[in-house]
Amino acid sequence: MARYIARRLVSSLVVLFLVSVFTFLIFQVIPNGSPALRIAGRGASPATLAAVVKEWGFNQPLYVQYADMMEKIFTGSVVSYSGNINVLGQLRAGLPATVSLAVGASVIWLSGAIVIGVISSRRIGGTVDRLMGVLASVSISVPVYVIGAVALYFLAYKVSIFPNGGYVPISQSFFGWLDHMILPWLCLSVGFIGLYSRVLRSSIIETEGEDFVRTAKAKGLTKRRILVHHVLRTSMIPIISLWGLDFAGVIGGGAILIETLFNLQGVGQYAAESIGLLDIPPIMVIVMYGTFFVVLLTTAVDILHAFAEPRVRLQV
Amino acid sequence: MTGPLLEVEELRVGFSSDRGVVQAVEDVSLELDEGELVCIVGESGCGKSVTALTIMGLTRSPTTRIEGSVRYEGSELLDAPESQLRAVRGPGIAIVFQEPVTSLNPVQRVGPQIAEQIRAHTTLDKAETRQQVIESMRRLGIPQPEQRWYAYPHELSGGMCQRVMIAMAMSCSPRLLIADECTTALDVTIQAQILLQLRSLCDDHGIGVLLITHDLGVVAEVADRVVVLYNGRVVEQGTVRSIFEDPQHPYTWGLLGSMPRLDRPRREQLLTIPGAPPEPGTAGGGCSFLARCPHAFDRCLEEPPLAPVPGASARESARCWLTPDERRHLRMVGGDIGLAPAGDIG
Repeated sequence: MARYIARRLVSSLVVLFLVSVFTFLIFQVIPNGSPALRIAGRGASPATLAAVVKEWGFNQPLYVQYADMMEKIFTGSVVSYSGNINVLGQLRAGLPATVSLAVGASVIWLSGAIVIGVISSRRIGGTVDRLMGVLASVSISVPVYVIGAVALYFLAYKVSIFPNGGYVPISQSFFGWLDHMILPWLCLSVGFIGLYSRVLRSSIIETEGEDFVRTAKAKGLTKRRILVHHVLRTSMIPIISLWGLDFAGVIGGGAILIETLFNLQGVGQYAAESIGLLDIPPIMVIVMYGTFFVVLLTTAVDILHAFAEPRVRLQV
Repeated sequence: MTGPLLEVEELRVGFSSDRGVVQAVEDVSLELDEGELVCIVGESGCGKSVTALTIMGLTRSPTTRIEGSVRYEGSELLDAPESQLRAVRGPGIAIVFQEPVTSLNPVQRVGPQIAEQIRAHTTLDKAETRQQVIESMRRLGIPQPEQRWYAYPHELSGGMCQRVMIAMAMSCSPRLLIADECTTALDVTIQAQILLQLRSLCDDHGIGVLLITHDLGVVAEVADRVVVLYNGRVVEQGTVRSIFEDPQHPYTWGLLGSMPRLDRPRREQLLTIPGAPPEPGTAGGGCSFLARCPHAFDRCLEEPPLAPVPGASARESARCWLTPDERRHLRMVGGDIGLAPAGDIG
């Protein structure tokens, strides 16, 4: 186990390195990407521009610029090109909102998917199952910003049940926090519930055809016990793996649309703003931070999987 | 108790699919007494396993059509509510499946899997249950049962898994044990041990055992009575002695003839039964063995009933139009019982 974790850590460092290099290079080649022009401001004189280039080191070779940025990132002194603000401080400021979003929404989408998946699998092809199937397709296909916009329009603007976006720290007011998070949680969860419930449903159907489930029936166990103790434990594995990736994605600032729509001021919204400004340092930091979480969560899920499925041997 | 432990009467099981109904079991009737070991023999796909599963109500589904009657200790199981079936499964009828490794839950330790059944049917506490499980594992010759309790199925051999399955089946002291090809996946020495254990269950504990097999060697070893299935129908049944020494149905002759024997000079070629069994449910009218039977005659276009064998006990019957004299004459091929190759018939 320890060796496995160590190996995963090493490989995650490799992944982080590659991702950071690619992100860095992408912003060197996209048009209008020159940060000096932005920092110097519109209509700056060639002399000012030259001074900016020299001061920020944009005339250095690329690998020097990259090393320089990495050094600043890992020493925590990296600042954004627009506004000269410390990026790590900004990231830290956005974390509570993003973590709130990811944790709350995961709870909702996992429990919703389990309930709906189990209900649909009870009567395959029945009315409930087919209805759930249609709803799942709809929820997966409708873009999350449409769901969010519609929810905001009806539930915050037309009828003011929920606040019109914004974030209240949980330390400041629990109910204020809850009030501001419910709509983003639900809107983010809708698509995930649709996908996860279908995956769970087919996983349950597959497991129920296994010989060991027949054995459980032959033991004279109740349907409930068979479902909970024999079927679900195996059927949950695929959705837990999915969850690891999606949770990491949201924590890593992947819920850009929802965060921006609800003005949560989280990591995702910070990413969106930085992309809009072509501000490379925050983008680099957020991408690397997101990558780190994806690697971390997939490793955690693999370890969990090995516990749930004793046949799985972790590849050492 | 009066009457047999298990009575199956005119059982029919059909599975509906997109291409219509597949009739896996056409007409199976059998009886089994306490302390009796009855073997069901037949080729793959003849309905042996479906019969076994249906007895326990394990083929129930919206797409399955089940007709006839299955009575356990006199009470009907086919239309019994799930709660009654649950009470019978385990303490009444227990089953050991063909594939021991996949029949155990791969993500649970084997001890708790056995304990689960005891806990479902008794009021024993955890410690007593554990004691009983370890005791039943020990009885089946599982070495170091205290340690095996913690093993996962994939850590055990097939033979060990099969013993776990039997220990599980026996854990609630059932009155009837169904063993569905339970030794097929095992090597012969383990097979012999398990068969002996099954036999002693009948003799020492008065348990009825329904053993499903396609291995006539196994039948000769342990059976009291034999039921021969072909294409979802009982074609012959009788005591083990009558089946081996006085078989009535050409299909049985074929089965016996295709068995290699050490006490005879080795044949150039084993006798076989020509052709393959019809797909379930596709046979037309007439005797279901008609297409493969070298002795068929015009009357066989009509399906023969399962008729008592003249001069034999009540539980000996066969489904064939040939007269007893014809049977005695036709079944001898080169001095042994067998199904004559079609070309040799005049």
